[in-house]
Amino acid sequence: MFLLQGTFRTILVVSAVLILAFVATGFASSAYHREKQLLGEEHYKEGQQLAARGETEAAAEEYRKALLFSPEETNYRLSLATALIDAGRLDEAQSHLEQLLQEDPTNGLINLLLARVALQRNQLKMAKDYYQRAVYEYWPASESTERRKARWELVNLLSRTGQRNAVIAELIQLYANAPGDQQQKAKIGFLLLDNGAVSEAAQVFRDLVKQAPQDTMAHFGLGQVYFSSGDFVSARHEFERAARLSPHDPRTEQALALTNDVIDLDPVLPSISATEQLRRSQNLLSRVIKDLQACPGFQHRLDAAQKLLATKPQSKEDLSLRLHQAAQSLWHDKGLFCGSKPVNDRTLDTVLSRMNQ
Amino acid sequence: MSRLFYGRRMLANSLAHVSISETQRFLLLALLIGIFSGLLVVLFHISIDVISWTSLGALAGRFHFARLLSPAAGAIIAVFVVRRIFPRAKGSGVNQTKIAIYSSEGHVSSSTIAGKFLACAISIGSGNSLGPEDPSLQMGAGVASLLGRVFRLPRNSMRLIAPVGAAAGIAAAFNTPISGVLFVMEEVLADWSATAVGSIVLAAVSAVVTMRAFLGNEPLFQIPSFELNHVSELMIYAGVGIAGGVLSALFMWLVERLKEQIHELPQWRHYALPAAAGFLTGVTGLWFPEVMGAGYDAVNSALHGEFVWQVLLYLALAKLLVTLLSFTAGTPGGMFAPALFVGAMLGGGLGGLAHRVWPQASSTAEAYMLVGMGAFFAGVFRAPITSIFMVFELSASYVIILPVMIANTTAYLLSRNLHPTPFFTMLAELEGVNLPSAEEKRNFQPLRVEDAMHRVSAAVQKEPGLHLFPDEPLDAALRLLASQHRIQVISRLEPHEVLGTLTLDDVHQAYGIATQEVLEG
Repeated sequence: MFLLQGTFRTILVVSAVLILAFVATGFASSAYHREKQLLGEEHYKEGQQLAARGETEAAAEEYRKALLFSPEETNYRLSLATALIDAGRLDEAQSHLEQLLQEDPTNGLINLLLARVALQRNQLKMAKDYYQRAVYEYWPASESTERRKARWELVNLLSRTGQRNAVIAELIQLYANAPGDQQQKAKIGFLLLDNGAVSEAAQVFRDLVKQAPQDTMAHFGLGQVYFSSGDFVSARHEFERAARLSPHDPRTEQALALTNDVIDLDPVLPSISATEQLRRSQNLLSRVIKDLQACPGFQHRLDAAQKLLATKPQSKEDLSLRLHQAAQSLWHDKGLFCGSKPVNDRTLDTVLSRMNQ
Repeated sequence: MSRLFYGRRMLANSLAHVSISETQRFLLLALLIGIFSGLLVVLFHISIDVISWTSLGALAGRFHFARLLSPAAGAIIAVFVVRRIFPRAKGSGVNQTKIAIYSSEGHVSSSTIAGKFLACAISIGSGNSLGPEDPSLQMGAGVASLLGRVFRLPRNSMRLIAPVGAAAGIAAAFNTPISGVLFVMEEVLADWSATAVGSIVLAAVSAVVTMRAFLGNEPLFQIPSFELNHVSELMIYAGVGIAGGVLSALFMWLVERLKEQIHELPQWRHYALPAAAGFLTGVTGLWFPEVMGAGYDAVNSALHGEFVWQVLLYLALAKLLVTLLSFTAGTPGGMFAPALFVGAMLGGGLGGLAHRVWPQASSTAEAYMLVGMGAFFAGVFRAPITSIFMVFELSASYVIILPVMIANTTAYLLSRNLHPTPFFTMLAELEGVNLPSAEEKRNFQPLRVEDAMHRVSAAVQKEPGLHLFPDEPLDAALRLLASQHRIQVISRLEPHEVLGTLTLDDVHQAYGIATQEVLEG
């Protein structure tokens, strides 16, 4: 009966006190939150300035203070994690990032930062998983370049671990979503080429040439594609165009010189005479002998090759065939005697590799 | 005017005719207590933070010695508030609430609320190593008592209302409603069969909801994800429990010895010792600022891996030392937050060491911090159930339950063996007060009917009249023996089977033997 034993006045007074208490607490708490927010912002800004100056430890300390005032601020925690990664404090960074990930598992940026932490720790599988999530999860429209950055980092990681097919797949995605940046596209093309995706690289460079016929890089890239696929004449054509557009570009000059050498040496180049084919085959074998001269235990085979070189031709075609087969055989077995000796004669290597295909 | 008077009479009449039971009214009052306690805890929290920003933040930034002197100055002011302005606000919040329940019929004065609020906000905010939960508990009990008086509760209800407020206060302070309820049941009431359970739960929940409405839903700690790496890791958790048990017993022993020594000192101790303890806290704070105040921010930072395991152990020891000094010196404030801090740092330090030695099988230090927190808490406060649920509630992880149970039980049993008197009982004894505790109740085995009855052969016939079952408490027999001189004890499974008889002499004999045993023991 106590509630009713208390008079109507008591209930009224208690209700009034309750309302007053709510209002007073409301005012106090809103002022408190405002002050906390201001203090948090102050430390956050200080942290950003320090981070911009490269003082990552001090920046992290300021971000920590900012978080004490506003623990719910995702930006503060993200900035702290980034500063901690830069300062090499990976455990702490990971802990903050994992907390953020719990709250927002589909956030691309958090996954990207966790991937970087895993990469720094050499946890490659984990890094790959986080990168893949970073690439395929949510990014705000304003941060689409970050997604591309994440994909580039994934490409680097996949290249490092020798996962060529995965690299090619990611590069194709990168190209499909590439902005109008010619240089980026050319980079994708060259990486495709490095990873053996010749036809995809050809497509990229043909598109580039079509889009910008005066672009040196596009012609150079297309030249490289032709060169890789053994079409040396087309390659020379593209390198010459590139050289005309950028006359003193050393890379183009080198590529053009090599291509010319290859064309001069190649004994199976179409539309050459039997005499020319024999001359080139002899030249090829003598360059092979010269290159392998220094390798021990190879002498008897080199002597046999020398004898073959001195053979008088009964049939030019037949001798040409025997000569370049001997050259190919020696080149093939050079690993047995020479070990992992670096290739001195790039022209020779290109021609023989092409002939082996 | 007459219309207003008429309206008031109408409302009063209609309220008088509202048919709600006594229990429902009690629940409504519990709700009100929860809301008021929640609001008070919000203001208390804000006050502590504002004082802390001023004395340790902005002020410390401007004046080099502010950090050094702030705890000492805060301690002197807080002691002055308690000794000169609000003398009723002295002592441990838990024990004062118990005294209110057991000897003052639930009465907690309004000046206690004001005194606790002011003194503890100043002492904790200025950097003394104490926590806000114990004062919150007492302030909650004070709010309940005040509302009880306003609504002119009858005597029996007044006794019940104080624990309701206590639960609301501690639940709001910890932001953990379940633990708040459990702690009050386990430690304050020392009774799991309390009649006011519904009201206690309601008050705790409404207090937490009110608190969150103003301070946000952020939990007390930002807990990283937790997982058990390997079954053998449980051994390390048991190790954390052992360390927690030993350290908690050592801490209590030191508190007891120091309190006894301090008691012998002249009157100047009341101001000089808190000031000295505050100064030493300031000095420690120059190297380890994390130990100042309640220390929750530092626990949060540690939970995110800010400190290496060596630093965690240093922090545990430093906090233990400054808390010991502040608490025994009589600086106003509670022990819960420092206990959680010490436990967390101890667990984290040992976990970090284990992870370094045994990286494959053990988790990172952060997982052990939560477990260490619970272990030290269980060891000091002897509230094992609360400690388990508190960690569970804080972490929201089922995986943690097993390690926490192992560590907390180990710490609890070890601490009980090394220092049999529980913390709050020890404090009460030092103040010359006798209060019931859950620990005593756990150790006390009440006699049952079967302990006193004379067994009879199966051939005895069941007689008409009142009967008892063998497992019933012997006290129950006493009441029945007032109306009949001999009672038959019957089986629960076969109600016609008489197992024995019981007379008043048997009861006396049973109690006499028990008394003798106790005396001999």
